[in-house]
Amino acid sequence: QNSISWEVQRFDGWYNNLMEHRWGSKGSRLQRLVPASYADGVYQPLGEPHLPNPRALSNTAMRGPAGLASLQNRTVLGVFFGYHVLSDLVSVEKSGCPAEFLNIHIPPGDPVFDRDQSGDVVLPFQRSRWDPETGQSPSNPRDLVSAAGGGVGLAGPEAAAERIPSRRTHDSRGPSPLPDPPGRPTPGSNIAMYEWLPSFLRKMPPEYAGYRPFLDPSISPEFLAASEQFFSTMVPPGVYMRNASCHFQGVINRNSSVSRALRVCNSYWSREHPNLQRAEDVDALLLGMASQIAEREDHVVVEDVRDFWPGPLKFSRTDHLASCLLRGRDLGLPSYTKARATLGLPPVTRWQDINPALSRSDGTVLEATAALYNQDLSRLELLPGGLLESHGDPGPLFSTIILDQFVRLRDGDRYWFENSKNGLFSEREIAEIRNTSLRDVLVAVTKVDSGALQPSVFFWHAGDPCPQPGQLSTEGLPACAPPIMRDYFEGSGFGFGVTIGTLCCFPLVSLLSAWIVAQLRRRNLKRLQGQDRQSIMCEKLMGGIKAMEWQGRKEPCRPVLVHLQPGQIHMVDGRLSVLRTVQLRPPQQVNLILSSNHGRRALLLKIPKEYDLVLLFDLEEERQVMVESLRGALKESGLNFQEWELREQELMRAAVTREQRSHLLETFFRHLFSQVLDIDQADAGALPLDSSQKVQEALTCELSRAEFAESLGLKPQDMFVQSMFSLADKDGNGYLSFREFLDILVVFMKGSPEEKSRLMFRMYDFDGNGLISKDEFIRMLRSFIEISNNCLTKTQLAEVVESMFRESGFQDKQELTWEDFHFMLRDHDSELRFTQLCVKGVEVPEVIKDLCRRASYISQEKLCPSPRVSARRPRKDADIEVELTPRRLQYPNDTDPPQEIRRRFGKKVTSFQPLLFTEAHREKFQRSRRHQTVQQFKRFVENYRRHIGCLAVFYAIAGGLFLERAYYYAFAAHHKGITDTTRVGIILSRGTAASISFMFSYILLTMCRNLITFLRETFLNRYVPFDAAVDFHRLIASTAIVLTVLHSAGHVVNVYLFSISPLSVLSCLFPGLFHDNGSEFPQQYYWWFFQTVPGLTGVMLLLILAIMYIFASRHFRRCSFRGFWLTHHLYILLYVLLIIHGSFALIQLPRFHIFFLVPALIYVGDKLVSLSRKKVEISVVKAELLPSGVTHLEFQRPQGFEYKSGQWVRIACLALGTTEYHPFTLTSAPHEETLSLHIRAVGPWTTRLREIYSPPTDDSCAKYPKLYLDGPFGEGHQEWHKFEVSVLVGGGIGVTPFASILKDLVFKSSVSCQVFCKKIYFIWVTRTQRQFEWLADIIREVEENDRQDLVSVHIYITQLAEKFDLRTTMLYICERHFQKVLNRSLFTGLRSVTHFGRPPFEAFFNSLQKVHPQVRKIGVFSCGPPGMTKNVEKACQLINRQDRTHFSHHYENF
Amino acid sequence: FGHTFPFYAGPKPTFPTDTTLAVIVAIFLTSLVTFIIILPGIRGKMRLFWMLRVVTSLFIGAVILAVNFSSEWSVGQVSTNTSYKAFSSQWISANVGLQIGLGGVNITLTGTPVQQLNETIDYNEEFTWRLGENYAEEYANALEKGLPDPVLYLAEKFTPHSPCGLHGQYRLAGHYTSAMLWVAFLCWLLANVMLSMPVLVYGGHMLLATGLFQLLGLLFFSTATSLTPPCPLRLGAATLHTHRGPAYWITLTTGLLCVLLGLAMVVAHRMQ
Ligand SMILES: Cc1cc2nc3c(=O)[nH]c(=O)nc-3n(C[C@H](O)[C@H](O)[C@H](O)COP(=O)(O)OP(=O)(O)OC[C@H]3O[C@@H](n4cnc5c(N)ncnc54)[C@H](O)[C@@H]3O)c2cc1C
Ligand SMILES: NC(=O)C1=CN([C@@H]2O[C@H](COP(=O)(O)OP(=O)(O)OC[C@H]3O[C@@H](n4cnc5c(N)ncnc54)[C@H](OP(=O)(O)O)[C@@H]3O)[C@@H](O)[C@H]2O)C=CC1
Ligand code: HEM
Ligand code: HEM
Ligand SMILES: [Ca+2]
Ligand SMILES: [Ca+2]
Ligand code: NA
Ligand code: NA
Repeated sequence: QNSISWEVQRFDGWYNNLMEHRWGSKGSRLQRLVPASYADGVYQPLGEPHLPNPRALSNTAMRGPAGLASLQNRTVLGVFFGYHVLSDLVSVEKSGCPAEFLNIHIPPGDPVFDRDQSGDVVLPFQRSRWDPETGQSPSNPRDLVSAAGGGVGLAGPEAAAERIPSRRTHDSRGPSPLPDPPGRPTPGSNIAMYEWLPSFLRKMPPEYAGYRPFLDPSISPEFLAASEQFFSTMVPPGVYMRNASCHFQGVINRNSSVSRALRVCNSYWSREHPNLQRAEDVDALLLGMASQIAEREDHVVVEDVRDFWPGPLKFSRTDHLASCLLRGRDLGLPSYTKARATLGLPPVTRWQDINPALSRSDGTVLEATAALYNQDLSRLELLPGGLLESHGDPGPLFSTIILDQFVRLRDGDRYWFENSKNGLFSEREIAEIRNTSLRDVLVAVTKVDSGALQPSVFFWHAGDPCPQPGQLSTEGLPACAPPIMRDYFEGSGFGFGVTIGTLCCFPLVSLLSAWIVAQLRRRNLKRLQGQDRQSIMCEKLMGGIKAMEWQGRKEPCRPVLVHLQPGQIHMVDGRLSVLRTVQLRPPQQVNLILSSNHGRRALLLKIPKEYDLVLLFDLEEERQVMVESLRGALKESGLNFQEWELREQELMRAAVTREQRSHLLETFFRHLFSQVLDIDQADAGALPLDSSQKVQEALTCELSRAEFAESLGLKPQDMFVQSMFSLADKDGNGYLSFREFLDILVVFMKGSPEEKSRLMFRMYDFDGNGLISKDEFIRMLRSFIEISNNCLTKTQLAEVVESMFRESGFQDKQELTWEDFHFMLRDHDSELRFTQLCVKGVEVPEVIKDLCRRASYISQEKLCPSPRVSARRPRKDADIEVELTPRRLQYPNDTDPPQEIRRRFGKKVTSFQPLLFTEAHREKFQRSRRHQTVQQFKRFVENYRRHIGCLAVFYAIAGGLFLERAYYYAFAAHHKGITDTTRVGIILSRGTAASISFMFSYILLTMCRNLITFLRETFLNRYVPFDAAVDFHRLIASTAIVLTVLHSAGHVVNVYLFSISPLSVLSCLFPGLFHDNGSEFPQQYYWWFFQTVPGLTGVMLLLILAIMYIFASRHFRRCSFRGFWLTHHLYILLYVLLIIHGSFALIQLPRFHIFFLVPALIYVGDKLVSLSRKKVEISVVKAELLPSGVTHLEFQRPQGFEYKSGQWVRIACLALGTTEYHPFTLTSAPHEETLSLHIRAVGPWTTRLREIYSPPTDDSCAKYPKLYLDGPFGEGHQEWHKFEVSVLVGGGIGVTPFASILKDLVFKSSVSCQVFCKKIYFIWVTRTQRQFEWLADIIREVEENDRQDLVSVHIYITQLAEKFDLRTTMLYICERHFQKVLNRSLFTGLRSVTHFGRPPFEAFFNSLQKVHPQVRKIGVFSCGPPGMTKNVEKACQLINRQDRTHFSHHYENF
Repeated sequence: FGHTFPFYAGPKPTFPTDTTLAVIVAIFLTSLVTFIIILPGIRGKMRLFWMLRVVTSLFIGAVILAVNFSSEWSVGQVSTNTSYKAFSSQWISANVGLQIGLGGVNITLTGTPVQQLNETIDYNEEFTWRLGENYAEEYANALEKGLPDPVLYLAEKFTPHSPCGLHGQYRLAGHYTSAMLWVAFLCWLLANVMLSMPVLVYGGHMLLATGLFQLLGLLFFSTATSLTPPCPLRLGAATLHTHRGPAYWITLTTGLLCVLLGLAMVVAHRMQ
């Protein structure tokens, strides 16, 4: 019912014109009257040096004294009304995006802005908003857009006078407020058009002729610049206030002085002015302005505007005129002359002609300006030109521009009040509006008497009421507040630093908590151990002193009982087995060191040539007991000892731990062997460049009996060790010195047979009476046999000895002299001269063999097999020549003439079948370090091709993502402007964010265990190393954390720059977050860090990552796997936060989820598969710790578990508290009752498994943790039985399937004689024998059961020289220099032959063809590192090229 | 930054080369570098063989891909005096270049010297007619954008409705040649897969196919472009003539190389 008869006008000017809706609307383009003039024709503003410095120009052309009155007596009220009309019409104040700056470089020494003559003052000036569709090419130069809608026109509800009151509340920037004219109809447009404009131009606009719909009312940039510029010349330095009765009141200034008027520069911009508190004050101001005469209409502008105009927040003052000049250049305004020409004004050719009156009165201004423009009038800009024209009135140029604009605004406005067709007003109303003047409005609003105001408030003529007291000049007015420069970052520096410091401390905090967890665990463990000890104490132990032995920083302490005996200290464990024996011999100098702090409970016994004994006690008293008895024992043994005190930490540092000792020994052996062996020159390579002190230490080092035994891989109690040791220990001090060991090695390896047999004689002459009794002889034999395995009973042995004696004709002798002994050994080798024999192991076995034959212990056939002999190829180079040793042949000594051997062998060879070529191939060993590393590198690359390929692909993608973002932000995102604000920061942070997104997403794939298990069976395994998933996981994680740190660092830079950037810049970058209202400070650093979504989640992410990474480190994972496992599950939170982190779309749209989706789905699917798998608990029957970190597990065979040899299973261990499955090959044969695994401790899981299954310390029978079993998997190599002859090649860990296969094979062949398979060659390639010693047991088992000589085993040890561990070296020595015992290698106890070097596959296969000429097809099965299987493959291919036996190769990589 | 931050000003950097080309080169260089890392793990003479093989293969692949995105199939360049822009009577002296690719044309305008009339005259504008893109619209955009006259003149000749008929001719040629090159690229992929499997002959066949498809593509391009008489392109006093560009010749070379290699492999296999 409230229907109105007129159409409601929009505030933004849209739809004013019915055809061109946009015309005159807010945000529409400014319409040029004159074509743009830009430096590049497109958008770059003209500037110095083509045009003068704006401040210089302002100083030259616009400076002048205040206090000159308007020539036409225009009032200040007119000026301020004009400002309001303009601000309604036009505003380009809104700065453009991206932020571009045209700065005002203040000329050095400027009296206002550069008072201290620094010469580098720059006032910021930001270019205004422009239409992005323009400014791209010369035919379409940049156009600006208006921030206010010109189309709203001068009429309507938004008209100037009407809007004034509201500005008081919402726009603090506006000049001092004007009163509120009440109600409709609006007189504003009438006043502006018909009262104010004529007063201003002194020209009446043409009569209104009706609405012209085709007239574009858009604001022109020329008008924009011109009008504003012109007003500024009329602004006075102050404004009077008066009351209705003409009393001009004083104004109280800030410093409480009283002045005549309000100072403009100090009042503009001030929201709560003390003088303008009440409504009456505003009235007083308006009345004052109506009486006050404005400044003269000339080129001079008062300092309030020119020097003290409120600037942006950063600079409190700016030069309004210079800014206007720059705005003109920003707008691409034409030059003065061009504008005149285009607007049809008569041309001006001389500087004086611009303003003849001025040039007459004050020509210097024009001259100085001309000088600034290089006397080139065509360069003179529109603004200064127009300003210089004015003299009492706006000059012709400005007048034309302004009048044109107003008329267009009026005539093109559909809502113009005089337009009767819009239905807004009736004729009567129109007439009423036309008759309303500003005076009427003021009278109505201020409630003053109409007599207090002149009829035309825009002029004050003589006779009008209330004349001003005098034309205001700056004199007597308070000075303008000087400019202040604000630093947005001021006061934030410290907090910023602290914040970053805190972020950096996250890892430390995490480290601390991890340490606490580890400490708690350690304490728990100790408590447990303590309880153990308690019970042990109670039960059994008397006589010993209980203590904890400290074994080194990284090793756990173990509870021991110390027994002190004369000459010895024994340490036993809970079950009374001896853990360690320390010898106490008189000449030793013993140091006893006691701790002096931490409860004085540690004791260190430093005994030379042993690693130190460190004991910890619970109480000082306990230690005292120990010390007392130690003193006694030491005295008793007649040892010198000294006592010291040290602090506990120092004591532990001083202690030589077992590990340190073993390092020392390693050096010892290296030097030892390099002295004795050929490999000194050929194979040992350069000794490590140990510091000579270390070498020295090693050379003075002496070996204890236990260490000696251990270095041989034998027990210290073994007779061989005992006798060898006591023989070598010439000075009988219980230790072997370097010299002693060297002497004996030299004899063994280089000595003559006599020397060797003498050595042996001495060795086994236990009572030292110079004769060897029968008893001693038996013990000697036993000691040899002990080394491999005890295969003879005592009676058998006695029999052997009897017969040996008998054969040598010593049957009646009870004791042998050395000559007898020597003779006896020689006598028993008919084929080889004694001189060719090596020492001890050499002869005896032959003897035993004879005897065994008689005792029919080993079948005849087995003892005299057909030897497979390889021809020996003497080489010039330093290859280690290792031969396939025939059963009865031993190594030729160095003194051995090669021809003779060849002759000898040659003879044999003719009588036997073709030879199998198994000679190991070794490349010449290179001494040079460089060459070695190159070689190593090649080998590495060969085996890790797939890894390198996959890594390259992965990192290439990650790098590509980084580069894409970097490219985008460095080159393609100019329209965003963020690059200008923070180039390095944004490139770094966004680039890394893209890579991080990719990495943290795809890291999930490395943990899809089911998928990986499935895929590694497919052909993909040839291209992707699925087994390296965990390593890859770690690698990705560690790269990602580096990138994350970079990302955060990049954002730190960003945050810093954002918090010092003005709002006008920020509002461009983050239009959603900031609004450039010109009055606020930018957000500070903490807002960015803690009050934005990405900031806060980023900080949380950092915390989470710190926790995850610290707990995932190798060290803490070992300390507390549980801690790792729990904290690692923060990854779920991590992903949630990551999604939230980007969701805010601060800088760009979130992308993380795009990367995340696919891997996440796969991962979830994989997890579901894991969850759904049914689990059966299986109890472990037996667990054994084998040497070299191998754990042997034997467990129940689940019901219906059928498998084939060579297959593998996956197990999870309940005690490890995880659902982590690991694949292991079954080493049991299918016929066996139980299943067994051999698990090498290589990583965290396997190591912990080994710990868990180490035999419990208490005596309760083993209650082993149970297992989950999954499998069997894999096709294995089950086809071996389909071939008559098969070759099995196992490399490294790849031998595991063969353990089962071999067992299975031998079993089948023994059970059913119907096995198709006739011969199996098993080639085992390993780095050092030590790595897979446990396999030796299995091979031994196979060999024992292999009655039909089905299997022939060759072991290739590839890294003798490189690894150089003593045991392998001893093996090497023994294989080279000693005959085997019982056909078995002295050290491995195996029949199989050990070679040193890589296997020559091609030659081997070639000779195989000759050995088995009738076989058409030979199966080759290889399993091991890819490099090796590749070589096998190649060899097969090469051979298959010839038209002979076919080698069919099947392989699997580990 | 002192007190003057953030009043940054200064030129905006631009990426120095064509990004598509840069991406292709980067991808293939990465593959090459990866391979070179792996190379030491290959033993003996095979190392050299593999080196040659991979480098050749990567080269072929890179060429096929790069040429597909290249705009240098037909090129022409002329140096002339010409009118410059709307609402200005001034003439400039400039080099005008025209590069026609499979998916569009590239027009360059470089002033001699670059700075004339207070402006930097250095334009490189692309107009594409790939499937899914609208040449006419791009041309309209260019008009709106206000590109210089010579650029608009040349671009206009390639609009669908221009009586020159260049559009249909080059667009068709481009589509089919591009399709052939994609097929060739597929063949190249297959050839690589087969060559790394023990089916060398098929690899050879595929290589042959790669080459043949490249040559076929060239055939399409030549016939289609030589069917209609070229429309005279007059710029000022001079006339712009186009001729076959580097992309064409390099495709021809690699195509022939592929054919030769493929034939060699096939023949070698026959001989065995
Ligand atoms: C089919 C197959 C059979 C195997 N048979 C035996 C065996 O009989 N005896 C034996 O000692 N080892 C065997 N392994 C290797 C054994 O699985 C790993 O040594 C063991 O998983 C290492 O785990 P970790 O956490 O202790 O070591 P980590 O330090 O985590 O890993 C060491 C290396 O083992 C491999 N690995 C780790 N976790 C897995 C996993 N879940 N699946 C596959 N590989 C992994 C990786 O290559 C890694 O580089 C076999 C591996 C496979 C694939
Ligand atoms: N998954 C994979 O692809 C691989 C993983 N590994 C990892 O490394 C660790 C140790 O591996 P491991 O199984 O012991 O294997 P090794 O690397 O120790 O290799 C085993 C034996 O194979 C020999 N060998 C290697 N390449 C060739 C070749 N081309 N021709 C002849 N013989 C060769 C080695 O000789 P030499 O000493 O002369 O090199 C070594 O004696 C394991 O944990 C395993 O996971 C190792 C290799 C590959
Ligand atoms: C240095 C850092 C890291 C290391 C050393 C590390 C190590 C490991 C290891 C060893 C495992 C296997 C655990 C086991 O099966 O015994 C694992 C599992 C896992 N890791 Fe990490 N990781 C690291 C960082 C990360 C990160 C940053 C993420 C994710 C964002 C992550 C996600 C996972 C997931 C999802 C699993 C599988 C958990 C499961 O099977 O339930 N890891 N990590
Ligand atoms: C102080 C710490 C951090 C800050 C201030 C920070 C800040 C930011 C910001 C502002 C963005 C842009 C978001 C947008 O455009 O809306 C971002 C994106 C991203 N940040 Fe951070 N970040 C921090 C730490 C981290 C950490 C620790 C990680 C890693 C785990 C991370 C990973 C990411 C990722 C992946 C993105 C991209 C998100 C997407 O595209 O969806 N940030 N970061
Ligand atoms: Ca000694
Ligand atoms: Ca004796
Ligand atoms: Na307006
Ligand atoms: Na003035």
